[in-house]
Formats: sequence, structure tokens, C-alpha cells
Amino acid sequence: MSSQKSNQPVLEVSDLSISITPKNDSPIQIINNLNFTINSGERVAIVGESGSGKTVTAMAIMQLLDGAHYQGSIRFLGEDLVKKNERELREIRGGKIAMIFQDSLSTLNPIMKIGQQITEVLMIRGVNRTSARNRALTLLSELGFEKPLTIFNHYPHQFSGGMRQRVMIAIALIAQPQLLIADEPTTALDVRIQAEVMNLLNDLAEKKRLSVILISHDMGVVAGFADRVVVMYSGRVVEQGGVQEIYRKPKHPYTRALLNSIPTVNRDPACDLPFIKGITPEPQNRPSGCVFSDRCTQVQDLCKTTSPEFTRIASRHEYACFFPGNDGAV
Amino acid sequence: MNELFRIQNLNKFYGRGSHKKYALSKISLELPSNTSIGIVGESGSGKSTLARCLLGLIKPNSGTIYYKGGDITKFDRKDFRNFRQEVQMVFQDPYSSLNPRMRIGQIVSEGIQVFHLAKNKEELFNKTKSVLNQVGIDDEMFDRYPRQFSGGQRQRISIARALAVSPRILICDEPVSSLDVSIQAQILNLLRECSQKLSLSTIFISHDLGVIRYIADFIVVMQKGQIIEFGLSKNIFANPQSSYTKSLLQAVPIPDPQVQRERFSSL
Repeated sequence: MSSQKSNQPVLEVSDLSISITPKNDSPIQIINNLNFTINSGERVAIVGESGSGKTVTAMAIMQLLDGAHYQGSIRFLGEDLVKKNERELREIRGGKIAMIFQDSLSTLNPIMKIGQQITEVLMIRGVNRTSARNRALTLLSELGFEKPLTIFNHYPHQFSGGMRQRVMIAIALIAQPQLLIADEPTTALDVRIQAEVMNLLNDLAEKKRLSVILISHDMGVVAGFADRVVVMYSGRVVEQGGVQEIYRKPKHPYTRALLNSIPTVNRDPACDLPFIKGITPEPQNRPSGCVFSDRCTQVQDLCKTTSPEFTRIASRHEYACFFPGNDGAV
Repeated sequence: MNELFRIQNLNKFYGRGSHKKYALSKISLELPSNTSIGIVGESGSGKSTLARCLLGLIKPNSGTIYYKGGDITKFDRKDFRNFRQEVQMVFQDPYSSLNPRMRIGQIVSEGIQVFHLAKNKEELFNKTKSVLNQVGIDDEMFDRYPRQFSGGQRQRISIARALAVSPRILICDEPVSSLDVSIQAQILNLLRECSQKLSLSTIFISHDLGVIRYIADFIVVMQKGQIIEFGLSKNIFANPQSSYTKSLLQAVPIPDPQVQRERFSSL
């Protein structure tokens, strides 16, 4: 979508495993051997059901997981975030890497004016009040607020969900980050507002040459926004590739099942919807062998004993499955 | 056509004077029976208010709702009891709509007891078991609490609770909006299967047009407390009349990179 994409990675997640240790209990591995890279200006979507580890991955990049034990590395512009101390991380969080959270009502401070909440990001970084204010006003008008000056003195509760989500985008973008992580940014919104916000995000990301991680369970939203898709299941990547490859030639049975189970407006409503049996396993009860083996329709004996390695079929399209499908998804 | 509900000039407002806000404004509608009716609209369009009025949970300020020819606001105790048995609801949030302190067996059997649908304990037990099986919950789970189930399973239990009293109408208020797509597909299939098997009429509220298309024969499109469009589902999808319906359809994301991108740039 954006014209210039150099191949220098902005973010490189290599062999990342994360475990947490609950009180008086043995450690639980919540993320298992994650590998993906995001090039400059690229938009990567992480998709999967609840419990697949999408949000944990985002929190790990922001280093916001309390008491987690990391193996592997998360390199941002070549520097490993896992090795950074709190002070260095404070510089990066909200500065070079910004995040938009799902629930704008609980993320915005209810007793602070919108203007303050946006300019705060700059002022703690030493920008003076006037220029912070001016930058915020410009950004708000870019975000489609017609009278940014009046908005400035409003409180979050005076806004609709869509407006609040745009304010969240303003807070995220004000410090001119290089990487934006948007965690289900439109899930709580109505379809028309969702389309509006995604459109806005699309334009701004293009204009500011942002690299974006979009976390979503909505394959429709992802289709319109992402360059590449990382499909996660139970703490692992099961397939990743370019958006065309994932939607047109999905290989992993999980990716195919995800795509098939969507009730879309253009499918024949007379047929039953295909679905995935069962639920995502808890991290401590993953099946041995392939993590998806207990829900997979293509499962064979091998899958129950051995975990499949990644097979690479295109330069950046890979999947972890012994018996991949060849036909299209829908 | 046999009608299920006949709604005449229904109004519901909140506040007074200059603060008066209409949640429902002059709604008149005849809902045919033995069909599935989808109500779509954005938040604040009044779709849930309408459903709750139909159920008698909210009293409208003016207007009448006829059920089987009788005005539901004028029902006496006995009629209302009957009505409540025949019209059941499945709520949006499977976490807050099941009592956390009751075992699921109790939750599902309570209605059967209230409406004296079982002669003895054994029949009660069997009925509860069969309705749980019907929605795909193993009857060994009888003694478990809602917290021990996943979101999708809880929604199945909610459906079992509604079906337990042999209703004629099932009102579902966004029953799948908090579920993952794969689980959503299971619940939608289940609801469709149950309504066909038990010849139930369903009223299905959703903001997701994909879901509505899959489940509904007729569609009511609402905006700001008013009905914008009403008609056969296939007609509305093929040929929407109002610009509002068109814009709703246009905004539904389609899981196809090419199509979705083209629509994006045309917005």
C-alpha cells in the first residue's frame, strides 16, 4: 500500500518464548518460539482466537508483562528490548513505540481533559506547552476533528466511542513513533464507525510511514489493512505470510478454518457455517505434538506425537503443519 | 400471513421537556410467525429497547404491542405468565446473565419448575438433561458452576435455559458478539438448528450484517429509534432501499484483501 518499503527491519522477534510463574506453582510457557519481523513501513496483522497470545505478544514488545521470563530477543531498530532497563523503556514506550488499546473508556483518564492527555506525552519529553499544544491541535484536525480547540477542553465521557478511539490515536501518534501497536482498535465500535477509524488509521499510517502491528480477530478488517498476516494459535505462530497468500492460499488448517467460519454478507446463507470444534487449550494443557491436533479435522497419528517444523513456501510465507491444505479457503 | 407480534405506534422516551430523547419513535410493525427476524442498527438505534419492550421488560410510554391478538401491557397475571413462558430471551453477555452461584443444572431446570412443566423430580431431571444435550453440553456437567465453562459453552447454557420451557419465540440480543468467530459459527448453527427443529420463531438482534444474513429471513433496519427499512432479508441484501442501509452494508468488512481494499479507497 505504501510506496517506499525498505528492507531494514523495524522489529525483529527471534525465538521468543515467554513464561510466567504463578505463586507456588511451576512456570507456564505462554509464548512458544515466536519468530517474525516487521520491515519499515510495513503493516503486520496478528490474528487468532482469544487465548492465542496476540495481546501477550504486544505486551511483550512493550515490555509491560509483570514477572515474565523471556528467552530469545525482541529487537527494535537493532536493540534488544528485553535487555533494556526501566528508564530506557520509558523513553521508548509512547515515544518510538506507541500503542492503541482496545477499550478507550478505561484507557483514557476520566478526570483529565483530552488536551492535557495528548500534550502530556510530549511535555514529559521536554517539549514546551505551546509547541506541544500546537502539535496536538494539528494532529487532531488531521484526525478529522473540526474544532480541535474546543475538543481540547473536553473530558473523555463527553465523546462517543469513535471519537474516543480517535483521541487514542492522537495520543499514540503525537510523539511521532516508528512503530504503532493497535490492539483490537475497533472491536468495540459500530461497523460504520469502525470503517471510519480504520480508514483514518490507514491514511495516517501511510502519510507518516508508520510500521504497524494490528491485533485483531476480525479477518475482514485485517484484509483491508495489513500487508502481512501472522496467524497465532495457543502461544505459537502456525502460519505467516503476505496478505494475499494467507487469504488466497492458506496452508494451515487453522488459518483455513478461521477464514471459513466467518458469516460474511456474500456467502450463501443456506449452508451451515463450518466451525472449529472445541476451544483453545489452556497453556498448561496443550496437546503434545502439534498444538492444534486436538481440534484439527486433518489430524493424523504423526500430528499427535511430533510438533511440525516450519515449511517455507515463498520468501516470507511459512506454516507449521505436516498435512497442509491446497485448496483455497472459501 | 400469521403474525407473531403486531406493534402499533410504539414510543419510548427518556427524560422530559427539552431533554426528552426518543429511544423508540412511532414504531409500527407486524412480525410474521415461524420465521427468523433480524433487527440491525448501530448502538443507540433502539434495537435492544424494542426487544425488551416485546418481552415486557420495558414499558413503552405509548403505543401497543399485540401478541396473539392481546395487548401485552393489559395482560392479567395469568396471561402474562403464559406470555413469559412462550417468549424467552438469550442475552448478549454469557458472563453476567448466568447466576454465578447456581449450578447449571439448577439454572436450566428453574424455568421448568416455575412453569410446572415436570410432574416429578425424575421428569425434571430428564428434561433438563435432554435440553442440555440438545445444545451440546454433556449432562455430566450438570453440577458445575458457570465459571467452569468457556464463553461459547455459557452461551449454550443460556440457550438451554431459554429452550427448557418450550417457548414459541426466542429473542436473542447480540448472542454472539462477545464470542470468537469459530465459536460464533457453532452458536449460530445451533440457534438455526434449534429454531428449525422446534419450529421456533426467533428475533435476532445484531449489529453484524454477516450474522444477520446468515440467520434471518426478514430484516428490520433501525436508526435513532425509527424503522428505516423492513423486508425480506434477501431483498434487503440484494437491493437496499435507504441510504442508511446501503452505508451499513458498505461498512461491513469483507475478508478478502482485494475487495476490502477497493471498498476502503471508495469510502
